[in-house]
This record gives sequence, structure tokens and C-alpha cells, in this order.
Amino acid sequence: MGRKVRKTLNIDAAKLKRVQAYLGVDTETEAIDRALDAFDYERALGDLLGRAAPSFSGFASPVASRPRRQRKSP
Amino acid sequence: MSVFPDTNVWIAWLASGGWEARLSSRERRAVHLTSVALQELWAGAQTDEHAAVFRELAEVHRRAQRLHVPPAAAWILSGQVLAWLRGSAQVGGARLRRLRNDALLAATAHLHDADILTSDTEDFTLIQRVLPVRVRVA
Repeated sequence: MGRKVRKTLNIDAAKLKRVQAYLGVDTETEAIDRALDAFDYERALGDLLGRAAPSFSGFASPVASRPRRQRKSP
Repeated sequence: MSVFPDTNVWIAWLASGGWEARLSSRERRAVHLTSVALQELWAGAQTDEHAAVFRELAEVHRRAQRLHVPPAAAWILSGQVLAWLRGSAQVGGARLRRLRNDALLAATAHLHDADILTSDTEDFTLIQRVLPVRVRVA
């Protein structure tokens, strides 16, 4: 977790209230934090998947099910 | 809304380098990793690069509080599902063993009110006969 700092933001108050209600959180800070978490996760995983691709061509797990259409005919 | 991708979905995302073409931004923010899928991914690790990616995959999800380990209730529920499949659906031993992880993933998703995302619906369709878990095709 990063260092917490106080920020002054120009923000749409009604939009923030709507997001707070949608997320069901107690504070506006928590609403912003949850929204930032979601996008930070999306960024982190997208970045990892993009970097991983060259190593995963032909990758298979011996214990995972495969889509039926990808199985070879007998 | 939460989405628990099956292992075959993670493999497709890893091999293609992305998930943008398959999920909306809202759906991407709903994705969670289960230790069931992580175990199956690790079973296929053959190189240092694979291992590094799986370590980072686990860390990204742990940090975001999106790494789900099946609780005791999910293990019990999945056992009940397998018992029903054996008794009422006449599913035999080899297939029952193959269904263990899918049943555990389904039970974990059910307890979290999450959708399963998979490219192999056949086994989950069978599980849905006894467990009302939501399954989406990747």
C-alpha cells in the first residue's frame, strides 16, 4: 500500500455521491479509493498479460480442461 | 458482480497477451483469481518465465484482494456435488476425478455469488444440474 496524502480535487459531488451509494461504502474517500483500486488492478493485469504473451505460445496445463473444439479427433 | 475465470480462460489471455477483445472494461474490473485456477496454471509451468508470470499473477491479485482460496464450505459443497453426480447422474470414477477442480471452482463461485467464465462449458453444464452457479462462455 502506498503512502496516504491529502489531495484537493475539483470533483463532481453528485457523481461522487452516486458512486459512493453504488459501492455501498461509508465515506467519499473510500469510494474514490475503491474506484482507483479497480482501475489500478485493470492496468496491472493488462500490463502483465501483455508482457507474458511471448512465453505462453503453446502453453498447456496437464490438469486443466480444454475446450472440446480444440481437441484432436481420434 | 464478480467473475471467476476458469484456467482455460487464463491460458487464452496469457497466450494472446490480452483480455480487451473478450471483456468490457466493467467486466475486466470484476475479474478475480481463484487458487484453483492458479494451481492448474502452475501445473503447466515449464520455464522460469512461466514461473515468474505466475508469481506476479498471484501477487497482483493478492495485492488487489482478488485472490480467492476456497473456504471449507466450498470444499464440502463440491464434495456434495460430486456425490450427487455419482449417485444420480451416474458419473463414473475417471470423469468424477476430472471434475474435482471444476466442482470446487463452481462451489467457490456460488458462495461468492460470482460468474464462472470458461471456454469449456460441458463439465459446468453437468455441475449446474445440481448447483445453480452462473456460467458464461468466454
